[in-house]
Amino acid sequence: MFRIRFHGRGGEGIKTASRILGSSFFFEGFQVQDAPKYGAERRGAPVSAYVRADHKQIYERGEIHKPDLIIIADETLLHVTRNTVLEGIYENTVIFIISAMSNSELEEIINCGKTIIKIAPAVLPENYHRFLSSITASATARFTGIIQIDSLIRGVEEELKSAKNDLILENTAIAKKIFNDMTSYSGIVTETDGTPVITEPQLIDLPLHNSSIATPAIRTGSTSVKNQTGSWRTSRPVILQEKCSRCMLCNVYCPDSAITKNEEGFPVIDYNHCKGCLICREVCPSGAITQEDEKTSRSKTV
Amino acid sequence: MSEGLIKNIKDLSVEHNLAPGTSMCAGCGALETVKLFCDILGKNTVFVNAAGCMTLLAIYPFTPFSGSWLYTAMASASAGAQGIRDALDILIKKGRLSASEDLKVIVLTGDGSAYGMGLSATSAAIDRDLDFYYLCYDNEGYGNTGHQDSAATPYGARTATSASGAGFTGRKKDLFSIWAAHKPAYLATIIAAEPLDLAHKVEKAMTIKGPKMFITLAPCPTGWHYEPHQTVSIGKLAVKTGIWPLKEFKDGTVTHTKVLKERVPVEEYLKLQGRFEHLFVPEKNPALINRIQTTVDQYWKDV
Ligand SMILES: Cc1ncc(C[n+]2csc(CCOP(=O)(O)OP(=O)(O)O)c2C)c(N)n1
Ligand code: SF4
Ligand code: SF4
Ligand code: SF4
Ligand SMILES: [Mg+2]
Repeated sequence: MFRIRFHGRGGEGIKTASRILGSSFFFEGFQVQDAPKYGAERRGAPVSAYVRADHKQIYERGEIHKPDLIIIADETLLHVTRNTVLEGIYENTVIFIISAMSNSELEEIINCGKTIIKIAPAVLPENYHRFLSSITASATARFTGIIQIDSLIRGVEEELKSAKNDLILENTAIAKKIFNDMTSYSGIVTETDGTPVITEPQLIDLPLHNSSIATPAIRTGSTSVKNQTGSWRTSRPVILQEKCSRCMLCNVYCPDSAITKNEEGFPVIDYNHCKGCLICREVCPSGAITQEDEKTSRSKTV
Repeated sequence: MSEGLIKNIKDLSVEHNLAPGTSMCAGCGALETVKLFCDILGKNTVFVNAAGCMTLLAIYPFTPFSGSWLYTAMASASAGAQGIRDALDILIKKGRLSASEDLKVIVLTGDGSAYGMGLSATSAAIDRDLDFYYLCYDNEGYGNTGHQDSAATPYGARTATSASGAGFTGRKKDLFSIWAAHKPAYLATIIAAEPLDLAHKVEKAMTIKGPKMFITLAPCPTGWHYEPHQTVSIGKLAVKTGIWPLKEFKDGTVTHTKVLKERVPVEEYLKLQGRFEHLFVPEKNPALINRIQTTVDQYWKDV
């Protein structure tokens, strides 16, 4: 059985990628499961999806904890949710990433001695983000060595059938190109045994706890501050104090309570939590908020 | 207009009772309303949340609320609110909770719940004059499950279940009138893009005992297909086009809190959203746009 896990951010097309791959396997006569991790598909938030494919009935269910292939569509995830992305690496695992980092940098940060296949954004079209589903699904199809180009293209068309014709054509074109470019990696991802190993559960008797400690009770409010949603940003709002009239409209409209007021009455953005929606920039009547590319600003401040 | 403390934008709190770090999408219009709501209602609250996007606000052990929170099935949030209200009343009566520690009970549900599955439990709660708040954030679809259409989806909008052709062919249910027919103590439509109107209404509701019902239009970048920064502009246009009338119901009468001398054509609102893109490309569809405009014009003619 192939066990394949995709990681990306909400809105990048990871779910679609898993569906394209799932359909492509299906057209090759496989039994398939493909599913996104349910409940967290927020735009910009870390998300994952998985595909299982086997020649016989699949008895495994749920998330994949021992993947044969991990696809990382967004390298920033390695900084934020590294443990989740790299969970369950074992002898057979191959890693595929779209990244501008050098091979040695990647090896250092991933640090697990596994084969890492990389596509640099520089070799992709400038607007490659629009085609991430087709790019990652196509590379993956090639890595299996089993999916033929026709099944892949059928998968892309099937998944995008409600999209406009031009968009479908652009997607199939890039899928074909990637499939070609990745020829040397054909068959690099291999199957492992799909027979379920069922061990008898070991039941242990536990004494009943006092219900005041056994029930999950919230005793402290506002704990969500521990979630650093600032990592979701692709663009960052920046306040220019010299233009700011201290009207605080940005504070009123920010959905995420991510703007505070300093002692002089100026707004201050909480970059640990700001998700980068840029509503503040849109509502500022003085044009005092500009937008910067997140990657550039981060490298300036680090 | 307001008898409350909030007279202008400067009176709105710059410190917020709803903490950051939630897993809502960037630019979520529903979260924007919940934030304003919490600022005005204060910290002594318990939210009763039916399944939907906002359920992900509180994922144990993380919560943005300073008060408590209860998760219920989609159809039963108002019944949950009754249980909590009764429990609080009993505790106060027995002297186990002081009156100053009393909590405001707020039902928080999406439109899927409020306009559909949860309608019956809510109807019964209003019948019983339950002293609670209801905040329905209306993103006009089943957002959390991928934006399928709900009873609140407007005519013409594309959703995951009306993805082709002319979009959704049904019509948006008039929940305001359905709730008004129950004669709740207070009922209002609001929108985060008009924070003062919202604040005045919530302040007013706080002086009233009984069911206090709110429906907020909740622009949703993910389900409506627009860029997150447009949430407030789209919200303001919903009001300026007359698509989202701001009104309240009290003592048997409906009052519009914002009546426009001139309304912006609905086209301006529709064309910003991907869910209405088929009304404009590959070519403009004046018949469909007119149909939407006529419905809005008819509404305001009757006001
Ligand atoms: C009885 C029941 N049916 C279906 C579901 C699955 N479900 C979870 S959230 C959701 C969508 C709810 O839509 P809405 O109330 O509009 O809230 P939104 O997701 O838009 O925030 C559905 C259908 C459920 N939880 N319970
Ligand atoms: S971009 Fe502005 S409005 Fe959006 S979360 Fe950040 S600070 Fe708030
Ligand atoms: S909206 Fe603009 S002018 Fe007003 S406080 Fe914010 S940054 Fe300053
Ligand atoms: S899908 Fe819409 S309503 Fe749900 S969290 Fe995202 S923006 Fe908010
Ligand atoms: Mg909804």
